Amino acid sequence: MAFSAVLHPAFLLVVLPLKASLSEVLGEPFQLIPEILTVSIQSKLQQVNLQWTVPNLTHQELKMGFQIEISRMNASNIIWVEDYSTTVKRNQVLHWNWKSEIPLECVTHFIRIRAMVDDANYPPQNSWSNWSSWKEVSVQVSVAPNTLLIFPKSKLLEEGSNVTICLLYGQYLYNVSCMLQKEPIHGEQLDSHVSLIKLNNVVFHSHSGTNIYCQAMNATKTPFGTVLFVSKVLEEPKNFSCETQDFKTLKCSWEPGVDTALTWSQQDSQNYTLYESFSGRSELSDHRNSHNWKITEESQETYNFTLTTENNLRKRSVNIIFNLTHRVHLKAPHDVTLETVDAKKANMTWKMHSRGDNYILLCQVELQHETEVIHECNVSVHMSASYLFSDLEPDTEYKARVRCADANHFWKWSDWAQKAFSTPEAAPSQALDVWRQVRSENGSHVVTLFWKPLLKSQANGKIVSYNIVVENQDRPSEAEHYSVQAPALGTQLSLDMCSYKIHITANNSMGVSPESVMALSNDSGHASYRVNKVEAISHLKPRLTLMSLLTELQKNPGIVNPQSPAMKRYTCGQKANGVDMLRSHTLQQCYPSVLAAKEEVHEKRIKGTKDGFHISWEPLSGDALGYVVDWCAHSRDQHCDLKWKNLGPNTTSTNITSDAFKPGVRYNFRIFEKSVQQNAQLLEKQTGYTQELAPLENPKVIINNFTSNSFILSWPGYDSDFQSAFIEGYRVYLKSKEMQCHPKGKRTSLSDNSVLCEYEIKDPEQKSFTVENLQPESLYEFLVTPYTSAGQGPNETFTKVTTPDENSHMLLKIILPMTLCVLLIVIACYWKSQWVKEKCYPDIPNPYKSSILSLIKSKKNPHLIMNVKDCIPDVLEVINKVEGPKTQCIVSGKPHNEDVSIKPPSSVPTEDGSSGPVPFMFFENFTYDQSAFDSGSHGLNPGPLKDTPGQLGLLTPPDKLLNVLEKDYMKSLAESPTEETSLIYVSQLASPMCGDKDSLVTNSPKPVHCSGYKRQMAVPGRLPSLALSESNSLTSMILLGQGEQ
Amino acid sequence: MDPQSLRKGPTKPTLVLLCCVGTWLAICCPSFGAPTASMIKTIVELLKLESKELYEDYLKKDAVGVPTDESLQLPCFTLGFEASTNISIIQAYLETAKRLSDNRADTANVTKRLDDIRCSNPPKPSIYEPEDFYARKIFTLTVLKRFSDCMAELKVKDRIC
Repeated sequence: MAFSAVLHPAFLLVVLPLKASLSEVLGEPFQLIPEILTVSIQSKLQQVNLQWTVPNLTHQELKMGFQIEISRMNASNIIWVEDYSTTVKRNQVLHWNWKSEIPLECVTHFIRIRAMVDDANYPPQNSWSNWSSWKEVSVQVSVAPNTLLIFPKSKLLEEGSNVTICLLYGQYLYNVSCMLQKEPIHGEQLDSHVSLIKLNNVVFHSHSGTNIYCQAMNATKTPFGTVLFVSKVLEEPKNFSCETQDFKTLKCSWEPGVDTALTWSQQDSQNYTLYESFSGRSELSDHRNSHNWKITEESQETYNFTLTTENNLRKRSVNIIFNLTHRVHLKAPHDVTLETVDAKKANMTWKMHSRGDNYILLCQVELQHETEVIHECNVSVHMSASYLFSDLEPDTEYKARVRCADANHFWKWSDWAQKAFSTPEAAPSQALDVWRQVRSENGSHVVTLFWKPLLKSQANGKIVSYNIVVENQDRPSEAEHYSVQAPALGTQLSLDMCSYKIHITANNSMGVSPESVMALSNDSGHASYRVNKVEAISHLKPRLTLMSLLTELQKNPGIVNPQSPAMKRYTCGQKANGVDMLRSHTLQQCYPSVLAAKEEVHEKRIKGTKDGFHISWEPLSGDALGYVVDWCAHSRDQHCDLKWKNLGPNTTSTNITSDAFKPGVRYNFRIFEKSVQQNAQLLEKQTGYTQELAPLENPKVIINNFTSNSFILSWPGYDSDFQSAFIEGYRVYLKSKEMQCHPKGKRTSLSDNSVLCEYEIKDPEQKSFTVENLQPESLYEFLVTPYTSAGQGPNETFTKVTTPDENSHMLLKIILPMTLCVLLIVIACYWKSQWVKEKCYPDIPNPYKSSILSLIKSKKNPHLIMNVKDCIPDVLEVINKVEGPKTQCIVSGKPHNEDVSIKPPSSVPTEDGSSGPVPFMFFENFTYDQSAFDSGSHGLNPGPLKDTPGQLGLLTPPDKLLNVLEKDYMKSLAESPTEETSLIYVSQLASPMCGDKDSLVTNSPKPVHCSGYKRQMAVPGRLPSLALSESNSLTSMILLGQGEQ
Repeated sequence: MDPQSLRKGPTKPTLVLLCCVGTWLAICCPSFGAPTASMIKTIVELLKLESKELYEDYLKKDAVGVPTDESLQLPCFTLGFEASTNISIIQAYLETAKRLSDNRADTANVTKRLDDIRCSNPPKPSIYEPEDFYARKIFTLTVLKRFSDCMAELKVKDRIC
């Protein structure tokens, strides 16, 4: 191989001269073989520069063609062939360039050239000359071992172009990988130490370039990389135009597009150059988007501008040609003035910068109000102009502005020149929209007047006050004037029951508005009635009294208009009612010539929608002046934010919409008909909801008549008119353990799966419910909730009740009368016993407690009272007279518990020796015992008997006494509750006649000689040794102390 | 020479006093006008934020896919006596990075802040400036990253030095 390389040039050197001499000898045309002088390289541009000459050229000039071949890596690998034609002069050095795709540092290239004469003046050279010798083109780059070189370095290219990256590996380096902005890129291996990476359509990443980063195994130095400076594509300038304002300067402007500058001065921002072809002037712009071109020659009218922009990679141009007079952009008008002529007119004047009065300008005038253009027009003017604005609104702020342009060659409007101004006030132009609400109070009309504020276009200024004139129709001369300061929108008047006309006007500083008139008749306060005027009664006398009218009506009902609805009813058999209605009307006072009837206007329910309500009505008469629909929310408080709507005479329906309408709120509507006399008559009342809602609250329930089997639920306080919908009824839910529903109810279940009985009340006015068939002593739970079309009330907690016991109720029914009966019986018995006592054994008076005694004591005459000493005790016997009923009465009668004890009959020794059983009465009069002892002044010593032997000694004979004590009486003593008593006084009195109380009382004060007494005795309180077993044989004796009773 | 004139120089105690005053001034003068503890704290906190922003911004904007150079030994600094020297070196690197990045990494602000917390003004070293644009990017990114890491690790003290 090396041997052939050495032989090849030597062979050529030998053969070529031979060939040339042969061609001359053989008569072949002479060949002009180009000779390569130099082959240079511009690495950054990847460009090969070839210089050659044509030796032996005998002609001064010769047109020749050249063919250049470039091969890569070796001469046989031809990659480029290009023909190049030019006129060659003698000894001329020719140049040719070629740009390589691949960085020239990476691969060796070879280049050669040949020529051919291509000149018509000379015989043509039929064939190409021989090739010049190959010239090697290479950049000597040494790659150190374990390193990597990347080419090209810092290459500038345009976005979207293609580029080939070449990698030169040093020795020992392997496994090379590269990334473009973190994205891996792959190449092709050219040879063992060269690889190429082709990047197509590169994109712009940063003004500082796109980064390529490579790394390899076994590298001694890392990292390896390069920066590609990718520029954005230079854009063509857009909207290039030039204009003048003063014919001295042309201002040219354009949109520059993106800036293509790159860092490190790799590429500066593109520049812009203006070239005017007629003048041949060229100026580099100082700005990216505009340039001021000075007009140096006034005579030049036409301009041809070329705008060129250029950067390192590209150049772009745009061109315009224009006449200067067609590119006049006038300056804004100046000296703008505005003068208001009156409240509705204003005159505007302005001046223009112009080259003289010969130029006609087109001006555009605009009038703005609150940023809205309300007037616009174009006017042709010269240097100064004016314009009159008319139909302006009084007291309004406006902004007027004007701009102009050349009328002959319109190019652009000038800038606006504007001025703000205000028109003066004027009197209000519109009557107030008024309405009223009338209510009767204490025999008078309380009239609340409302009016809507005038629109700004109607008020024509600031409303200062509202004037109200109230005119009594009966006494027109007595008009009352009121003034209400703005911004009030209503007032209240108190008027008597007569008819009035109310005139309302609005005032501003310039005057008053047209008046609004409302008439009030005497029945205006009856909001729930409709007054039907009776027509066709003109034959009645104008000043008839009410009674005469009534009489006339009764006599001749046909005088009324039968078409009137009220009168229709009247003529259909309700004459009496009609008369009654008339009677209640104060027709006599205010409308004596008009017969009227009142008809109650029933409220009609309507259903609203989300947007509002549709109200319709039937007209009352055909001559209505119009209709008024007023409404307000139905609320518990008296305040009503009354709204109204005026409607025309031929209207019978309307849609009422308002943002204030809320779901669940009831709105009441009233429709009035306005008559020619400005009187308003109620036609209809309607009420409804825009949207009905479920009730928000349940009624508060009261339990009445609570029994073991039933109770009554009532909720009288629940106001169904103020709920969130029309109440359609109530549902009563009842829970119990038995779950036995009444037949009226039904079994249902709630959301919590609890089963209960449901009773439905379909009448919303029924506000009570009887729960029946209950079990005594059972727990029940109930809930009463209303329901509407939208649902029922809230699920609240059930109220618990427990029914009472049935027996206790019955027991109460029995025990109470029984107790009363027993009480009556007891009272009767007591009364009877008292009666018996009074009749049979009245109380024995205690002489010591007698008032007489005290009287005697006071007179210190103790002898007036019988003393025991004065009466020797003796045995008294009462002969038992056989008087059956009386004795029986005594025996069977109950003795007095305290005073008397009846002893059974026993044999008592008598003076006459008769020892047979004789009935007698034995009385123990305890009145005399303890009470007597308590009184120490009466001589009875309360001490024991043994302590008073003297007293016992008085008893004769003592043994006899002991017998008596032992045998007859001790037992009774032992039973006596007064055991503690030392001495018991026993008195025996035989009543001569049972029940003969009078005789006893009569005789008692007298000191009778003992014949009236039975035996009396005093016995000691304690005689323990005495046996009581023999008490059956009682001896009637009295034991008395010495000197005492 | 007149012996009287020889006696007109400063006396020995005066010389001693002058020496003491000179020493005292040498020690204390740097502290005059030095930032307060709160200022240092604020400046360091700002430096932490701004250095991080600088690095992240440059990485995202200009140095996507560019590695840092581990061989570049940018000194860090701790608050102490050696801080001023290190701050000067860092400032030199930051200024070089600004220049090499064609002002794409604007380190002027952080350089000024470092000036504010520096006690003395030692000479700045000369920094090797690579020619290749890719190497410049590596240099700039490395300087910014090292400085950001350094500031992140720095603990605030009352005094810089």
